[in-house]
Amino acid sequence: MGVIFNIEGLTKKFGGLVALDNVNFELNEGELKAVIGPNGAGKTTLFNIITGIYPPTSGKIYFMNEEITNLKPYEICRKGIARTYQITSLFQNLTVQENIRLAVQVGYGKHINFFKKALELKEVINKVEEILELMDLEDKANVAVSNMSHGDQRLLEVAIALGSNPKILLLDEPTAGMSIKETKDMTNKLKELFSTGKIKNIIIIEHDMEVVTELAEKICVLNYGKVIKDGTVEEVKNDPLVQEIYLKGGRQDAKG
Amino acid sequence: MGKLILMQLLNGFVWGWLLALISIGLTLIYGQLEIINVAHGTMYTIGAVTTFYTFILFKSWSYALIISPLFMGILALFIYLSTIRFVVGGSPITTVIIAYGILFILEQLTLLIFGGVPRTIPNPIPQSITLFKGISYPLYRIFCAGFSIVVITLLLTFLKKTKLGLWIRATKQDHETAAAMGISVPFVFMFIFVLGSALAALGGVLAAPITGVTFDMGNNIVIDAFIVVIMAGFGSIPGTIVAALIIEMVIGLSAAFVNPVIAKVVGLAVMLIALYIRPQGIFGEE
Amino acid sequence: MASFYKKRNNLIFFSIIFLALIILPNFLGYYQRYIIIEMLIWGLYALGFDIILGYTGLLNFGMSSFFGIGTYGITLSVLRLHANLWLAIAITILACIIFSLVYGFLVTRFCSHYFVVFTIVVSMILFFVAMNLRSITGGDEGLTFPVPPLTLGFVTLNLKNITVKYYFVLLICMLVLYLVWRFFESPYGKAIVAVRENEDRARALGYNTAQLKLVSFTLSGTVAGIAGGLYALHIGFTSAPIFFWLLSGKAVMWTVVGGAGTLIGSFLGAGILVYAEDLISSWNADIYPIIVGLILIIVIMLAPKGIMGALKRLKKASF
Repeated sequence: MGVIFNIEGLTKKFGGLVALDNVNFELNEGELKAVIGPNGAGKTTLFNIITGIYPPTSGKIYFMNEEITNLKPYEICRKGIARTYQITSLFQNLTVQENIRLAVQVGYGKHINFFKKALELKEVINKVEEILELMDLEDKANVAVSNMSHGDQRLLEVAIALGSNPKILLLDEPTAGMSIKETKDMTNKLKELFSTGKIKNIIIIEHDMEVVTELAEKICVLNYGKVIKDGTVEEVKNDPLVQEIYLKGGRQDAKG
Repeated sequence: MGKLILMQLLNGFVWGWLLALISIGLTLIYGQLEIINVAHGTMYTIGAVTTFYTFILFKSWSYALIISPLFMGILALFIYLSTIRFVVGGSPITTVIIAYGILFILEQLTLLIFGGVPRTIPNPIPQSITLFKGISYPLYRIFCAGFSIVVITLLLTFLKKTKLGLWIRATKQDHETAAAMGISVPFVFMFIFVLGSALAALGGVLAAPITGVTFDMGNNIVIDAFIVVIMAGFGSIPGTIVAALIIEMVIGLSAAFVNPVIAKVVGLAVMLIALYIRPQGIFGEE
Repeated sequence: MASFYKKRNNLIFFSIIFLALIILPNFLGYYQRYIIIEMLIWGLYALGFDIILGYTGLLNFGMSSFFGIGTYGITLSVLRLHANLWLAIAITILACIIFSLVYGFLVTRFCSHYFVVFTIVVSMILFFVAMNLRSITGGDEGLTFPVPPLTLGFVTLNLKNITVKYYFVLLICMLVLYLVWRFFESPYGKAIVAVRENEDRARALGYNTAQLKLVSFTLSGTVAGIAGGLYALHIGFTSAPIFFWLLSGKAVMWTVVGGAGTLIGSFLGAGILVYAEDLISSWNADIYPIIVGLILIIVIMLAPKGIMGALKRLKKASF
């Protein structure tokens, strides 16, 4: 159970604003780790840097002993790191099935193909159906994304991240904007995916502490871009600094 | 040679201010209403054409300075109310097509009324003045630059000091917030379209004695204006002035060494390179 | 299941149109065949634009560049290299591909507004350069050239014959349309649509979106260039003003009125507007730009997604 992903001394400055300050982070193989912190703590910035949307000011990122710090987003995905977005980012005018198919076809390296019809790639179609079943979206396969409920769109967010067969899945507030029931469904779904080994390594950003305690083994707490505490759920929960800033300091998510 | 270069730079300076005057109108329209107004050139043409008729009627060019923008303003009001206001903020493709429709209609009407034959207007200020180094430069051109500077300064003052100017600036920042604050955004948009078109027409009035008047003279100008507007950084008036001056002075300078057509190419190539180095424009934001 | 039937219906529909176009010349006079040839050529040009706008989501306002290069590719191959028809076409296609690749590489890195302006600037540079290089391009007087014969094996046909020309243009248009259609049915074509729909997400999923845009740009330019080549063969002439920006605008008009992103919409829009222009101008040459302008305004206000878009809405509504 070694370390498969780690970040060393990651700093990000936007002009004068320090978004991330010397962040160190580790993920062991087979681990589900949560990143929590108040709004503006730098969590999404962290994900953005990991996935190559912009480069860090300094610091390095390693995945499976390979440095991935300055790779382009599409290269990072092909290395095996996939992510979902806090604000849903799907192909709105296409159907659920088409969305997943687009994710799978590049994940299988089948997209550089000018002659066959997209619908005739058997491997791709099979994988699409597999993902549809996995995320309970089969009956919505031909629905356009813009016609779906928010909760279903969030499920699709996760579904397409699965398309590339990722080794690490980065989930950015998967339950954002969901009702209590939808949150429960999503949490159970994620638990199922992790425990059955469909996704072996997960880093999840979440505001909802119930979801975090339900899913995560380890937690990393960020505040103003710095790591305040990094450890098991118990260690973090009982840490006085964390309690002061985050858990008790009135910044709990309203869903509680 | 030195004299030629100086002359050309002066020419570039004059044209730069003229182009700035025309382009500011487009910056306002494109920047605020997000309309790719390919018909902006026809406003310039109409300015020049009405100058011609004003001259025929009153035997004087200077009356056109008031009459042409006024006429264009009323025409622009009509155009705005009948078509543009329905597509403001819509997809750029839709706005471009509407602008095309307006271009065809206005240009053809101009052709039918004015005819296809180029006409000239005599120089209203035929004298030249002697500048340093014994260079003689047409006074009228200096007047054009000066007049443009005055108008642009008045415009900037208007935007900064008056209530309507404040409304325009607020709307530029954020339509919704402006509307929530009680600003009549539809009125602001209408005003901008009318103002922008009138400014283009004014450019036509000033240019007419220099370039002559043809029914399609706007088609060349509009391209330059668009390039200037994007070079400036979306919606920035100071940027528009700087960009217009740069491009015209580069063209002017090049024209001292190569023929005018190649000079134009040099100017365009410089713009391309500038776009490469700084894609957001001179004063644009990232 | 509904999509399966839709595909069958579409296939039948297009086969009928195709057959009709094949049989039509028997019933039509010279002038009508001439007009249909023009409708097809401009439709192909608009198709080039639809590829980059409708399918890739980029507004290329400089399509005249590719069209112009296409016309000059054929003209100069025949005049200077004494090429036969097939060699001239091959040279033209190659020239378009190379031009589009280099151009595309430089421009596709820009996002929307700057992309539009870049394409405008390049098209105007080409215009001025072409106007200036009189010895090569003939400037605004242009170059006339003898249209080479169409040789197929042992058979030699005269491409100036309106019927031969008609079928030649028709078959090339159908061929290109079919290839482009297959391209967008393929996984790569679908990936290009993904870039249009949400480029950031496409990148995050592993797509090299810069490459996708470049390929699409090249395809778009080459198709427009082929249309240009056909146009040169059609009139046996080309001149520098072909590069002027107004021609680029026509591509925008025709594709959008027909319906962007539908392939067939570009032929529809070009066909209808070219035919309408011809009809109205022969009736009253003074009025026709005004009527065309009015048509544009009315159509786009009533049907922002073009004619194909309106037809799709009607289809949905009828259930």
